[in-house]
Amino acid sequence: MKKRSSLVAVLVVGIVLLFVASVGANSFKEAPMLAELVKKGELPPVEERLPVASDVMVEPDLMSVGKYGGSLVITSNDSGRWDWGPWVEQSMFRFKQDGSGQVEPNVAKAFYSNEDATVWTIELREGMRWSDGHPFTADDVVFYYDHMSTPALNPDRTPVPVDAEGYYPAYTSKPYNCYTVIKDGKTYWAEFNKIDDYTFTVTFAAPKPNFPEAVAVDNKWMFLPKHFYKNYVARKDGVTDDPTFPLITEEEALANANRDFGMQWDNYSTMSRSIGYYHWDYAIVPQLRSFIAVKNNWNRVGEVYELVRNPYFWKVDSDGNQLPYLDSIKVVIINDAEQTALKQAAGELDISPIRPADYATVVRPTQSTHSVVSWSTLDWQGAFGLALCQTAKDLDKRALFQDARFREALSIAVDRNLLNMTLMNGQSRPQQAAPSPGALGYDPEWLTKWTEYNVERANQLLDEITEPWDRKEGTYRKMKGTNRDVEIVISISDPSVEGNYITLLQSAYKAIGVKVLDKVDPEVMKSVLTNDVEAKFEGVSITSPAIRPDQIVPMRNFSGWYGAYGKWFEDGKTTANGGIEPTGDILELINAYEAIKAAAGPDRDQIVAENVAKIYELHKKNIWIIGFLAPLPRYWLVNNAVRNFPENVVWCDEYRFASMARAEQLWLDR
Amino acid sequence: MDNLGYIIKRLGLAAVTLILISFAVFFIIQLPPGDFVDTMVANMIRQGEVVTQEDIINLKSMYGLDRPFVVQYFGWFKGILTGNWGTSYYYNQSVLVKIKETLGTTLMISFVTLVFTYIIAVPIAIYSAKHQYSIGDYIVTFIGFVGLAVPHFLLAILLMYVSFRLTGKPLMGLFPEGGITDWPSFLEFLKRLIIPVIVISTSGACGLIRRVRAQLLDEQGKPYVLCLRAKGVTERAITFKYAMRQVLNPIVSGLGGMISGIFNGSTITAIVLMLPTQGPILLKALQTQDVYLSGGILLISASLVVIGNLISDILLAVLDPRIKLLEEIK
Repeated sequence: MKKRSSLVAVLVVGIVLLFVASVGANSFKEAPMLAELVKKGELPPVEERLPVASDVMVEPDLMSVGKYGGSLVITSNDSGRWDWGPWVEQSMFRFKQDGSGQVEPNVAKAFYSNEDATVWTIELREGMRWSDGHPFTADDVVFYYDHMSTPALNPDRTPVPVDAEGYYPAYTSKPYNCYTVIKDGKTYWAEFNKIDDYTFTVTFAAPKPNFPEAVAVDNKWMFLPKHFYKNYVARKDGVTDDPTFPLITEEEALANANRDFGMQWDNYSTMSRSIGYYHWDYAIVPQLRSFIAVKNNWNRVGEVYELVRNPYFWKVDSDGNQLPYLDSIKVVIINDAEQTALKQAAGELDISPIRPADYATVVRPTQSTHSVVSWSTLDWQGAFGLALCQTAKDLDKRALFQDARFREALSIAVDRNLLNMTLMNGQSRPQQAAPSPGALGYDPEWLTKWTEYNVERANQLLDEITEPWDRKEGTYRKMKGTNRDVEIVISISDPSVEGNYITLLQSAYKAIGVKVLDKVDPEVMKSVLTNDVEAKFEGVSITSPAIRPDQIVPMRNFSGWYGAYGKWFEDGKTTANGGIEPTGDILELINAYEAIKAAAGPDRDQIVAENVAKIYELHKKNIWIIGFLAPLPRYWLVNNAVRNFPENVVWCDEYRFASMARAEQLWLDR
Repeated sequence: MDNLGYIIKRLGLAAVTLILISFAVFFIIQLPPGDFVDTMVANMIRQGEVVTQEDIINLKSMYGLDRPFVVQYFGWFKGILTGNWGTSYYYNQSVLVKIKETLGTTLMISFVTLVFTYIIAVPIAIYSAKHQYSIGDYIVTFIGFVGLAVPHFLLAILLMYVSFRLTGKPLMGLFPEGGITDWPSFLEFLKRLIIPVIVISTSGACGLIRRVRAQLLDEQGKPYVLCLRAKGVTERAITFKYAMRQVLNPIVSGLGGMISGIFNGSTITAIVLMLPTQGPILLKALQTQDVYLSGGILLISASLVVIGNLISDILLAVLDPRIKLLEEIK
């Protein structure tokens, strides 16, 4: 009897569960706008547009169940593809909103690796569709990788050298580091294999434990619609018998693109970079994004660029409502910061960032309609940091710049409170360039290192490393053993802003006999590549050197403070092409970076943590970039009608900026 | 026949001027250090892309920037004549397509402004001349000098501020969102047209007022006016039937200069007021050293000035035979 009743109970529960599941599967709701189109027969029903019920993504960062409708007004400038793009971007894996630096599946349903992290398996969502209704499958990913992301490869998957016969660059022209490993000093590209329509594997020649994080930083999306791009990609492998991807020449691909995109690209590589890399520039390209463009007018000042709800978007809220809630996001294209401020003050923008200088101007008149929401940044400094090139071409200067006492003197000779009042209206506070509280690498001692204003001590330090100086007004110290003034030539690209910093430093460093000169160089970033920049204003903003190291580790030809050391590493540790071999603490940075890259096995996390800590320790010891003020949070002016806009989220490139707001779950209460 | 010869001569001169201008334009836009590839590289690096020295060299040869200046110029000029104005590096679109996008709006604003300039300037100038040294004349003169002296963009900012204080809405842009579809959106468009037209026409109108007033005052004391008065002709007839004929001369001869003023004035004003005209595109093209696009726009703007001068020359010849005579004596 007892046994029977429990059996009945199990049956009943089972039936109820089945019923609930079937109701759940058929109970997705959609925006009235889309329901209207379904009724007219212009759009398939919502169940057919969403992935199968078990694979639909229920947005975990949803703050509250919202209601449909309305347009959100934001602003961007006429080259703002990196600005409005992240609002609607959907990547394969995304960083969690909690700032932990961990990734979670997004477009992917799940991902996992084998034991030594050489083979990664990625599962996709069955029934997911592009914004044009075409199914999204593993074919789209494999196609994107094989035909758009990889340069010419040898049979063993090492790249064909640039000057060798048969070389061609990747379609997108971007050599993504996330798909390569280094084994025995050689680079190997991963191999993608389709298992079935919704599963594929990525196989590396050596362990790649940080593959998902690397993709999230480096390539983000990792897919493009094959059915669309097959008309614009010239097959390089010579296969002719594939009906899903017929062989076309570069000329045909270019002609197709010029015809369909309405452009006049004059060659294949410009075209391929433009539509392969900057694909979201064009409304014609099918997307997986939450909102899609209808016109390409994002680069026309004064116009409104509208991103409308993607009817095939594959996420729902906890009640089964298809996201996004908003009908559209309207981006007002404005170039001038003052015009933006005027729009803000008039309350015409729903969500907009506030410039520190405009704070009172825009917050006061909008008190009754808008609120200020702050996000944190990972900046090491407010206003500016001073980077002295450690590989300066002038050898006397290089010796000075490499001397920690010189950098300490420059740091303590500046009255940071004065700087704060002058540049930041007193909103900031004195600080060294270092990670802020809450960020990885935060160290209170580092934040205050060399920040006490002490001209006397600065002079004592300099007395040890320069010729004696009588401190006569209008004279400068001479470099040791020379008759040349101690001078720092700072390259600046924008005199209207950076000119102020120069003036402030000139007056501060006069008291320690150091001459500051400025050199206006609109192409300062390019001059860095050839080691032609002696000093520049530079900022650091990073999550972790394990995720993106190039600002604080010389692993590529990129940053002003380490100059030609980066070139040395990028060229494969050779001085043949202008690189300079590092020694001492800089070499230690490289060693730590390589240890992180090579870390594998059960101790991987510990090895990474230790070496990340070591990189921070080296920076704290050396202060290669001198900071003066604390960074300000990123302030947003947010209309009170906007719901679900999160607070205290981290604003940074790795986390894809505004992407963290999860625009698909924003809604308007009006 | 005489007239035809004169016009042909003028046309020939205009063509030569245009060729010289095209050379000067191409030369000047190449003057700033660096080129389009440098701008592009700086942007790529800013976005975290890896750029090697070889990449830079390849890009330069791809865009033909490694060729000598004169070769680049003749390539460009040949294209202009054959209708291929080159491709904008920045927009990757044909320069002509890009110019056409905004040319309509630009010409519309310029034309409205031109008409507005004449409509307000000529009556005010006549009033001012007829009532010399009256309170009204002083007020108009004062406003005229201020209008001549204040730069367009400053006036634009001031008017924008005033309208913002009065209405609480910043008047920026020209077309209402969604374009002109019905009567209310057309009214909205007219409302937005007010500030740009006032701003762009101010300096031209003020200059015109000064010239017409001076000329009319000159005429007032001439013997033929005295004679007309003695014959009992009404003041009205003296002014409009006789003196105004002389005044037409400065009005017409100022046309070329005024067109250029309106075109250039509208460039900066368009940036301040976010008007969808050539202004913002020209600025972008210059900033990114997009040689063909900025060259194309500058050439059009220069051509308009030349054409304006040509028209005023021809009109003058028709209106005032003395000018043709002078030409023939030379």
